[in-house]
Amino acid sequence: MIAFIWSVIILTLIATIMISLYGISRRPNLVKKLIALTIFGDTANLLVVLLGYRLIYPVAPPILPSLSKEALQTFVKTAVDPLPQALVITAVVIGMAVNVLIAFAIVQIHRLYGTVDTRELSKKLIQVEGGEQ
Amino acid sequence: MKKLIPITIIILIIFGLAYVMSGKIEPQENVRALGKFYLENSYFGDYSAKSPEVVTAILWDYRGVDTLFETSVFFLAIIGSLTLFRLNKKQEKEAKERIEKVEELTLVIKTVTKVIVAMILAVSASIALHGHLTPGGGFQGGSALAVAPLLIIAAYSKYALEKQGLDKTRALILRSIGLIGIALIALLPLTKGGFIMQNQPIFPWLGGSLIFYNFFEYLAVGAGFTAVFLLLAIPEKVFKKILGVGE
Amino acid sequence: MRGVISTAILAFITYIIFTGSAKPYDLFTGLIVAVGVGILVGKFLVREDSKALNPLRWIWAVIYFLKYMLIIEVKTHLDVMKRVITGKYNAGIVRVPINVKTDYAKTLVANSITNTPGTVVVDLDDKYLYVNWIDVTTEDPEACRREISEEFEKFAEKIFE
Repeated sequence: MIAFIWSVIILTLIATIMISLYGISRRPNLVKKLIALTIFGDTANLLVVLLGYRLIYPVAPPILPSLSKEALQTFVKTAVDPLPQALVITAVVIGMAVNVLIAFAIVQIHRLYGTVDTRELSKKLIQVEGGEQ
Repeated sequence: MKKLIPITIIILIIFGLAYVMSGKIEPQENVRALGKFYLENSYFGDYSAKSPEVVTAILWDYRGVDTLFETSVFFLAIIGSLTLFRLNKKQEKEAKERIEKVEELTLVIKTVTKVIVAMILAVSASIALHGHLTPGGGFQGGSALAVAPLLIIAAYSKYALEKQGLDKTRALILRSIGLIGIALIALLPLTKGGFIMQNQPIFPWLGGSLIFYNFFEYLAVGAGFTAVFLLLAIPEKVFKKILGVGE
Repeated sequence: MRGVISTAILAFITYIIFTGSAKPYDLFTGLIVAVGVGILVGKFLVREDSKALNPLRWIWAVIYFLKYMLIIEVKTHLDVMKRVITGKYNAGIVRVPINVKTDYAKTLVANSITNTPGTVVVDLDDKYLYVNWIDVTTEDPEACRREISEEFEKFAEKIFE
């Protein structure tokens, strides 16, 4: 049963990644593309954290409970893998900053061209280029 | 109804595949060898980083260069955002002037915001300064810190914040102080014969230089996001006038 | 340096409660953070130091908190429960005059009214609160004040004015 739930969780995450990829590539609205991108990033982070999880009963966070050597043995037996968590912490903040950058670009595009729809945007860009020639 | 069909198909596929998979995969019960190494060595052991919080030990010591470059990606992303919205000196002055009366929120929200901001500052500092003991750290504390100016912008206005001296330039200066601090502390071990970003026991209590990394990262992330929020809070009308489009 | 001490106390208490331990390290960093926060935002929070640090006002605040949580809340909860079961209600928005002057006192009154079930402050201006009341027995402002906010104002005056 536990193996079944475990594989359901992993497959759900993979399905979410695929749906968000669909959103990134197929939605014409830039804002919706950005939303799909954030979903993609968060799901990928969750998948990475899941790689470090342990399916045992007393499972502990990777923080030493007390500063004594005796506690170290049980700690190593119960604690989850800290490495994926360390990678995800930075990835989250970088993701946030990159999303801010993309959001700024979208806001600026909306100000300059009055639309965030990629189909209309391409038409307007062609117009701008044609006008300069 | 049209949307229900694909969702049902996806759910059926997931559960079907899970049923097939569940007999074949083993749920993982052990950490990988690398993770075990970190867990054993973070505080005791020969390669100690002097931090009971293993994640912080990895973040700022074992894989410190990784974090240094990720911080520089953060730096570049913020720089990129500021470049997209760049203004010259005259335009910046224009953006700081109130063009019309801005609709502010009611008295209750304003008064509560004042108290909440003081508490948020304390809580975010607590998150950042206990990064070597609890699941917190500079990134998380800085993100919490950025909520305080955001609340002020929402409840009062961006002009209130600028009138008290926290404008975009000051926020960028604060962020630069944080980044320079990180770089200096990263280079400090080289003078003592260590390697770059090695944790130094310069602090009498726990944690060594991790505290300083966390503190400077807290400053850099918080101030960086504050600068971004200040730019986003410029009214659309002002920006369109500056760009010379629309209306 | 107005308001530094009282804001620092608030920040220090928040810091220690959030941290959840009081080792020397926590106390030391808490003190530094508290003073920093006090210097940064103290002048916006407090108008008069002597008022903010007056222990009598703090005692009144504690008394008000206990009375509000244990007596007033329970009474209004029972009242609303009765209305939910019997279905007897007569809701409407009434105008309630507010006599307290300072920002904090007004906020306390408004939040106290909103937090008790059956009454919600919809809007407020300089002289009046606009309250959505579950059982409108009278539309006379002074009578409304007696019914809804007199007790809160009494305490708000003692705490903040």
